[in-house]
Amino acid sequence: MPEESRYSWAELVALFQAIHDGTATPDEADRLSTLLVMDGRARSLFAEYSQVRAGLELLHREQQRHSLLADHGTDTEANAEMIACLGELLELEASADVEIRHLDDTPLPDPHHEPSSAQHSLRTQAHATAPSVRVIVIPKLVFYGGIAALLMVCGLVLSTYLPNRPAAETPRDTAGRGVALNEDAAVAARPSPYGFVIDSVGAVWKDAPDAEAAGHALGPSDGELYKDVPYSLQQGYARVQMEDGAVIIFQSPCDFVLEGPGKIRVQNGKVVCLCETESSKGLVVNTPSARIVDLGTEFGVRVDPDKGVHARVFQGVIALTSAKPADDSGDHPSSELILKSGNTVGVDTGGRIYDVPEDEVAFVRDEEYDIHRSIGDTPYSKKLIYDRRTLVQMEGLELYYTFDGDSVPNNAVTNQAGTGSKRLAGRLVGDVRRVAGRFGEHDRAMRFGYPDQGEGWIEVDPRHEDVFDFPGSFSICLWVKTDSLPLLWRAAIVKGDRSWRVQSGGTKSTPGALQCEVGHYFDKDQYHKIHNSHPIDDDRWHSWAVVYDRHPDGSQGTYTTYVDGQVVAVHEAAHTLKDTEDPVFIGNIERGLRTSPEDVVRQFIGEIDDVCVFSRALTQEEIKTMYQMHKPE
Amino acid sequence: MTTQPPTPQEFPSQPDVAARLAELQPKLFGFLRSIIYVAADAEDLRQEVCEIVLRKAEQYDPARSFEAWVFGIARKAVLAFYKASQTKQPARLSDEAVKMLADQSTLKESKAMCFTLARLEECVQKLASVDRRLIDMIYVDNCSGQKIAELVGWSEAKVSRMRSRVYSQLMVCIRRAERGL
Repeated sequence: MPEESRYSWAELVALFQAIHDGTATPDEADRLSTLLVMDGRARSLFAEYSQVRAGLELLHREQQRHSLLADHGTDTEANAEMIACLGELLELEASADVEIRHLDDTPLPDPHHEPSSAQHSLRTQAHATAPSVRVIVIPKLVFYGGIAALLMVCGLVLSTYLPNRPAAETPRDTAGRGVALNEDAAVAARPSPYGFVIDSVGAVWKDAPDAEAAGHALGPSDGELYKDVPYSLQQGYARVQMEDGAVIIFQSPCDFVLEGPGKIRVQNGKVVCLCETESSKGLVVNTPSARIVDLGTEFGVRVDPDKGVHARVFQGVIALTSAKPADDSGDHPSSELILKSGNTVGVDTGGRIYDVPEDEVAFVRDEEYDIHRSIGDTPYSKKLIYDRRTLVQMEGLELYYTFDGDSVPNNAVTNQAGTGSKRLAGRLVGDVRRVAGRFGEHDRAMRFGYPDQGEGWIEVDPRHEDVFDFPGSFSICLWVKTDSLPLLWRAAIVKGDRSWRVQSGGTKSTPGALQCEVGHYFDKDQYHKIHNSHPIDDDRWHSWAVVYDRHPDGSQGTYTTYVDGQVVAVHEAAHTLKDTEDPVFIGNIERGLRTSPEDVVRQFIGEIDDVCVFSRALTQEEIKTMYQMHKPE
Repeated sequence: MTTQPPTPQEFPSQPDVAARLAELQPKLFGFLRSIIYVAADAEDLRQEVCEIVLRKAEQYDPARSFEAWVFGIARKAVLAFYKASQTKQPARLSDEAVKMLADQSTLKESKAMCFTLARLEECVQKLASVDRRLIDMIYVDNCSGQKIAELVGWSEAKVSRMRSRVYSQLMVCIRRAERGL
């Protein structure tokens, strides 16, 4: 298949929706045109989709008509009147004294005009200026009535005479299911698929090379009537909509069977089931050692043939029944549990139920699947998922600037921290530029101080500067890329110039070194400067983290500097953090707040990304994990 | 070889044309609506096409497919509309795609989707209440995706996904119903 004619169900539906909603860009219209021209299946799906949407519009108008008719007479009377009107139109059409406007001799409508009452009537008005012409106006309502009446009659006739109905006349097999006798009967008896692929990400299916295609039906096939068809997803992810409405995300490797429109059997692998609609409630997930029944929820199931089953409820309630091996009497004793939101349990192969730590099994849920779908299974998608799943939930996270393209207006920067500090938005001041980050165009970083730039910085909302007057421990993490760390005082992130400062701190003997200062700048006794000789000015991205872990008695604390997840400097020092009213700056310090206002060497030169500030000391393990999850490959 | 003109008896009567045209309405409107993004314009164009079909009923050659004839007229109408509103329809399907869609609409296998509104209504009734409410918000209350997101408390992306799911469910339901399942 040519590359340009490959598509996913999600892409196709998004394009359908965009063109129908009138929001398609020229590129999207071109893309859809290409697919429609090249692929008959895409055309067929588009036609179906369009007819459903158009049908809904017509249906709504029908309902409006009925409600109007309820005020103006019975349907029968009105329909008779409408049909008469339609007949009159046809008769008048044939007569010579009526001039009817037609498409081929009338200006076409302005596509952006507001629909007016005139446009809501059939365009059968005669030209008013023609003296011999009768003016006939047939309201659209009347036209619809006629059409609808005819439609109903045709529907009745068709439903009476079309040979598509008699399921009862189809011979049944012993299980009560239809048996195909001839081609027509085979079509009538063909089993409906139990679900279809909505979309997939990097999916590779064993023995089903087409299954990655959007709209691919899963379940019984023509050749295997009523036989369970096993599927094996060997790579990637797939999102499947069950006939009953449940949406299931399959994570590879996963072996499963669709046993019915609301029932699956998972032999191996992970699934997340989303049962948001009434019809989808009651979804059954069978596994070798447990049966899980949805009671209206979102839940994940992991099956390991050697270890058993893990089930976690994200929202709502499920019923889990363990299946134990037969005992001496031949019975299969079982235990049933009702699990609620946040519960995670395991069932071993012997049917024994046990508690499982919440974070032991990672499931890809709907939102995370969308990340994979939009940007693929990449280091950046892993980072985003880690951020959403872990980082923004971490205790003490006060500020997290990802700088990613959330198209914020007014040079604003969004705080992604999820622990109540959403108010700590940032503001770009001066010449700060958004550039591609370490994960490419999806990612964003901020660029400061290059020769082609003027001065610039990011100011964190000064109304809440007190959040950063830490009474105890704190941690600061950021990514930097620079090829130039001139001597001293290039501010990466600082709270004014008189409290804590994370900046370059090279000297003639330690060029390119990093520096963290905590304390009152002018009070030498309480001012601690940590130098290290770990150069980072190689024009590559580096993780830089500073942790101040204050001892419980408050008399002393430990400063630890990390570069790329590794400890590069440790310093024990007593201090009292200066409580100032200065805001936090990234990339520079506002001129008026510098200890020396004329000092022009505070501008950081390079790029900064993913700035985190915690009101607690991160552990070495946490720093390492953040580095691992945020590092580019 | 010369072709004999059909006798007047071979022409379908106008009521026949009207009845057959009535059957085609969902399909015809679906075709137009998929291409004309302003609903009122699609509706106007549908009316224009119906007028032409009714006016030219006597020119219809029964040897040809009625659907193909109607959709041929519809295709010309769409292209004329495009031409007249070239600068105002910023994103549109290519002429070739329009032609192929019109052809597609007359293919034998696509007839299964020429459903009645009653069939569609049955399927709407089978939807979950939340899905029916979504349909009402879109078609009765004329809510935009953004408005629905505000009212329901979902993200716009989720509203969009839910809409896709509802349309997909209706497609599946109609397919099943057409097969008598």
